Amino acid sequence: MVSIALNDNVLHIKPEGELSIYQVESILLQLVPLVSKANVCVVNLSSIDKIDTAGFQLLVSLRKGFEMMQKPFEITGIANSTHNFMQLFGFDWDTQMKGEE
Amino acid sequence: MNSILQFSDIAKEFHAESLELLEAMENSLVFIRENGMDDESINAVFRAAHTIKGAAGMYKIDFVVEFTHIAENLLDHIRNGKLSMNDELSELLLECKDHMQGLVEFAVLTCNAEAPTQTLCEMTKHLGERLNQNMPVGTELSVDKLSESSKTLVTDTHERAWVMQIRFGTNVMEQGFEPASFLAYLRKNSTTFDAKVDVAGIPPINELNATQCYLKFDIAFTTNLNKDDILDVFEFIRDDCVITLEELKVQTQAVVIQGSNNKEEPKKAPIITQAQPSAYTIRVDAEKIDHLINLIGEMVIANANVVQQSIDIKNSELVESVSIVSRMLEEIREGAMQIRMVQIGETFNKFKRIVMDLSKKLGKEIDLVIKGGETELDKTVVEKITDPLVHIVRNAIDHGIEMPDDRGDKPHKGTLTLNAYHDAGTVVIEISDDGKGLDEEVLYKKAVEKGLIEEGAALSQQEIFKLILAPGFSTAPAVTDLSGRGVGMDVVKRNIEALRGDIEIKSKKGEGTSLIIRLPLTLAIIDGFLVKVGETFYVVPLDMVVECIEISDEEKAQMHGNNYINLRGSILPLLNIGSFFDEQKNEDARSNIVVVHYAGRRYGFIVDELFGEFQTVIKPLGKIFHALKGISGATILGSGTVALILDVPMLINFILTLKGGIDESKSA
Repeated sequence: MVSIALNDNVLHIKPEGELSIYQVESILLQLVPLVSKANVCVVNLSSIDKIDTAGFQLLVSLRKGFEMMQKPFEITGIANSTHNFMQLFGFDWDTQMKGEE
Repeated sequence: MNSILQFSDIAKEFHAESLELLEAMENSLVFIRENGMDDESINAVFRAAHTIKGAAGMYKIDFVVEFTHIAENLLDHIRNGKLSMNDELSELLLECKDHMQGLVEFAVLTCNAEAPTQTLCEMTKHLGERLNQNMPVGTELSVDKLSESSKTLVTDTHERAWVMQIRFGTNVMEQGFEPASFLAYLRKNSTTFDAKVDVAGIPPINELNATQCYLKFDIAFTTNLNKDDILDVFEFIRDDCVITLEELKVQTQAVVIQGSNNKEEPKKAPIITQAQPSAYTIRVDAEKIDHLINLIGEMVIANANVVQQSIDIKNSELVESVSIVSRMLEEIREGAMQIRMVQIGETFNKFKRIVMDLSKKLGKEIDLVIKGGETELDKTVVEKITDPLVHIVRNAIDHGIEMPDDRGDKPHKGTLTLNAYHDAGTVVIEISDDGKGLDEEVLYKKAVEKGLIEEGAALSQQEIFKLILAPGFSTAPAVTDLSGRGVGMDVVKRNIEALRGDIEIKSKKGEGTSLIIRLPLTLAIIDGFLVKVGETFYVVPLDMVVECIEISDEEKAQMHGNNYINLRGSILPLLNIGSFFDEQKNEDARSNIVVVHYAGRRYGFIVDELFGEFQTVIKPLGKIFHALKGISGATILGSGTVALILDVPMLINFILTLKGGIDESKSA
């Protein structure tokens, strides 16, 4: 499950439970039309129990999309499960994404 | 270290996970069978098969991989719409699920050190051929690879450092593989592990294909796996990936590892401890939980002693501190007990398959209705109740529900209902059918013939019904492989009684039968209500207590020695606990009645003193007290005194046999 809301040009995304390949496709379909309308994106990961590669790629890709438009992108509430996943991949949101710019 | 040792380390986990997946697979297949093809369910079946294959592949259980691969191939065609699902296919897939379970259990039993038995191989071949017959032409897979299945992996005992670069194939996720699983497995088998993902290939959101993989990794690790073993981790995806693997000749902490994409700066090989795998559930050995609960039980007893001491010392600050600790301890106890609670729905779901298979075998048409699947009870109780339930369900299908043509005015299709709910500190499980019901006359006659009762013996309806639970009793005209041997129902009764539960039978000829099983919520710690009779302390399970009332002299006089009182216009049957247990009468004590409810009725226990709520750690009584009636266990009070836990169902049965206390209680 995911809650997606565009309020005052801020795109709020809060996935809950699993963020895996079984959810990512439908989330992507919902997000694409909203990305260009939003000025800011805030992704709250506090309610994620499980994430997989597809979910990880979606987050990185979303951030890339916003950075290309030079719009702020924020990730909040990285839960343990997500943190452990990032650790397995040796990925750090702050340093690694900045390295991409 | 070799693969056998490695497998034995995780065999229990692999077994439990596989059984969980196989159960999910069976549930989804049964759902499809009942409700027709459904994308979500077929994907669930595919995912389960795929995950089992993946896990078996990692542990090199080739015979599981090979067979599951064929089944998975067929499932893939079904979910892609290239094959249409029908009853025949769902049945075949259910058989495959059973066989996968057999293979997994064999692997676990032998620690994956032996080749599968001839019977298993033949079954693999037989089912594999049947799966292939259903495949579109040209997509069949070979089923003749079993000869090499048992070869084991030998690895070095010497630990070496490696660097790997891997670019996952873009389609690996579409093929059902999860790249992170391969990394996690490699990490699990490494003493140091440092991966660095390269996300440069991930496109921005409007260009992303959600199911494609865009990742590359540089991984530095030390392991005692040899090169082939490391590459074997990626066996299923190797064709689609670009992998380079190099051994570092000098293994020190300061060794320089140069990644292919980062040649500017040499770096230290980091020695990191393995992070906890990401998971939202934790699988814990039941023994550890039992041990924890035992310790909490001991702590509850020790705390009762501290409470008592603090009261005796009359230090109000100490009493307050102790009461805070007691409250916290109660929360810990509740939390720990909650760990053991599981929903009975999982067990009920297993019956879908049993009902489906048996009704088909017997040519009957039966609908299974499940209610109250969310009802929770202790896992130990669930485990012990499953086999008796299977037996009762099989009996209901075999003997209870009639053939479609014999059902008269009733619907052609019979209905079997499994229902669970909580009632007064117990869990009630009802198994009801709308079959032919029990025939009292036939049961009575049969019991006389078998010598279980004497001709002319006066039995209540409930006693006659309960004859079906007697050893050696069977009214089935013919013994079938399902039931009718007269063994089983007595074992069912024994198992339920061993759980401190009881069975009630309701039946109406021509309309159906209900078996109502009442079980305690837990077997470890309960909230009790402490009372005293004579010199002995007794505990009544608190969930059963409705109220306590003091008997006035006037009421005593009105009783005229009867075993009931008029409680607000209703008759309340009574049992004098002092008389029942032959306690010395305390003339000074005021008589109190503890009103309990059980099976929808109310009863009263006459006691001397009331002490109130008490956390009760149930200690079973030794074998020497086996024949003791009315007591289900004991507990230790803060003073070290033993208190006896009343067996309320047994005492109520006793009340019902008392003259003047029988079924008038229905009005209470």
